[in-house]
Amino acid sequence: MASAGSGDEKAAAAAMITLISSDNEKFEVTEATATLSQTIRHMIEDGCTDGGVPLPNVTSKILARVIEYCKKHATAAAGEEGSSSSFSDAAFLEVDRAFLEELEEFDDAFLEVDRATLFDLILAANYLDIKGLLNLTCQKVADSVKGKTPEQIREMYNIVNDLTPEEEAEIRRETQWAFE
Amino acid sequence: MAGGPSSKKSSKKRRARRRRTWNRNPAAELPDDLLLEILARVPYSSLCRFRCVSKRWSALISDPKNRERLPQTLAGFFYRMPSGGSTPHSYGFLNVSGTGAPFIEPSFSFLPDSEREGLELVDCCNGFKSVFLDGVLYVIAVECVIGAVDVDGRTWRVIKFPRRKDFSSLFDTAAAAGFIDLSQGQLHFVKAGLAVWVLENKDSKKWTLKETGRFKHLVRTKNVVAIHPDRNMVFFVFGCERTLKSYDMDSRKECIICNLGSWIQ
Repeated sequence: MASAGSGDEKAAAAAMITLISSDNEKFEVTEATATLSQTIRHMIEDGCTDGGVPLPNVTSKILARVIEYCKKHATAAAGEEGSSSSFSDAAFLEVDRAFLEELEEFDDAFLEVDRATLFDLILAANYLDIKGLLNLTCQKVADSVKGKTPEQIREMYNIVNDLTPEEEAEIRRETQWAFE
Repeated sequence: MAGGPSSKKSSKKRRARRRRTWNRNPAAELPDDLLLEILARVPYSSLCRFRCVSKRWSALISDPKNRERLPQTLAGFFYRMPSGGSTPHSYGFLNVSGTGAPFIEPSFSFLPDSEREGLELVDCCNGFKSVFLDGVLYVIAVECVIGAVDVDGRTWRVIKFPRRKDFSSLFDTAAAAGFIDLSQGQLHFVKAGLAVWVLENKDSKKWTLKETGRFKHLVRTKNVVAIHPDRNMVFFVFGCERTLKSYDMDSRKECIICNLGSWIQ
């Protein structure tokens, strides 16, 4: 892993926050990036981020991905604020649209991860309280399971069927239409 | 920025990681709350199927506490109780599937008192004029067509009422002769007492005839009042006792639910 924060010279003037992963790796990010997490936002508001923010529930691998997401979306939020005053300007709208498309592409590429990583991202998004990321990752899982049968779900996620045959038959009878 | 996106990592590295995580059970590691976050984003039909996955999934999906968060349908009828003296009429709710207390609280206590007085239910029984499905609002319009508009208001479509040559004359009558409703995730058109159609593909304008005439003999008043949200079942009111009956379109069995009596509307 490269040393954290090396690409942030442009934002050097902004306040920096140090995030510390469970495996003790340090990531330096701008406040704008960090405050996409409501959990960290509250910590900053309470003034308890000096000396770094330990995140014992998040590994460096997952934290790096989360920061990648937050950086991109923090830029997007800043862009939106900047252009909102002149929203009547067609050129700005065009730029906005291009940016939103780019953001969508980023999100799609961001979600190209294996299942375990995706679930780790859900756990991290929940712990850090990042609504956009939680929504994105949960929607991805929902989309991947929605057409599946119960058997396929069990196989995908190593779930043991602990329903008795009678219980399962009863549920199937009640929800028969959903299997057709 | 530490670490590149995983898509840039070599496939060799990926495979190794996958092997390492093979025995993990990521879905089991999720707390109930997060599993619900995911389940709240699947269509209702998938949710019903997923009750068969395991005890945990079944309990989560069926728990009344989670109803607010998950997609759901409500199967039952509102009825109006007579007003006595100075007390205004009140509403009751009758479940048609499942047992126990009504799924919803029929006194509308969530409304302020001033709103509750003079409350009239506008969308019960024969009043199904609009349906919201997959981000598209379907509205019965005059002249026997259904208007469909998406949530952005960008796309408008007009879908003609289904017709059959042999009773085409019936369909030239007022739009009130039929209603649209949602069942099993598809738009249904019910011609009172006579036939049920389903719009199988939301992008098409083609109706498929699902049921016709077979329950005609049961319905002298031709008063089909509703369609079950989850099953191939219609409900109608029958006879002078105003018996609420169900008719299962698969088994062709009818079943008496209750006598509404003449005092309930």
